[in-house]
Amino acid sequence: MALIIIKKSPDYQVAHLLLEIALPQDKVIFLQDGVLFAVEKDVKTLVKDGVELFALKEDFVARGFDEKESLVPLISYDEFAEIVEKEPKIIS
Amino acid sequence: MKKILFAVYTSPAGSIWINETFRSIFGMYGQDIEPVALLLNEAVLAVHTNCKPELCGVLPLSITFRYIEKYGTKVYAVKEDLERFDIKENEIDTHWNLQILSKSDLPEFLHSFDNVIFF
Repeated sequence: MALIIIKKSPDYQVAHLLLEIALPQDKVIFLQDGVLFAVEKDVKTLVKDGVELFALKEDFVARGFDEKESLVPLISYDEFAEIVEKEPKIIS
Repeated sequence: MKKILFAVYTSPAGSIWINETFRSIFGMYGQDIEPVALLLNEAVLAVHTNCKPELCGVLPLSITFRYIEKYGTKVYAVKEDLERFDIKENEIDTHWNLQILSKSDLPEFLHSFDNVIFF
């Protein structure tokens, strides 16, 4: 079980690689330009079943999106910090 | 001892990230940490014997070699990325002491570390 943090936009191959290596029970959080994954129609098909996806709300709305446009749950900085504290392994 | 993987994916020519990755790795030996390097995507170009970033004014990769040898740093590269750039085994500089792993092994490999940092 690991926390995977993706900061690069979907234009970057390495961002897709990080989604591919996610295993069931992993959590993926999109930060910075990584939040652009949250509006990709097929974002949930890019990961294996059982992988949880989140995006940082502040980074999402800062890029002009409405919260309702996100296809994955949005989390606050506080929630992000809580997840980081709980996860023993981080891939970033 | 914590195991930390330092993964680098940018080209060795025109960017400093491969040398910066190894500079970070060598700094870890002063801590209770076991660092490992992974080269993927364009970064695998670094292992070719003819790769000379210094021709672009960037630091040579060879400055890492004596520390890789001194510390016995494990360096991995992705097989499919080596194949993409047609880098054959006999073209790989032996100073890297390179170990090759398949892309299909990456999920398990990356999850075997306490932390993975992409440069």
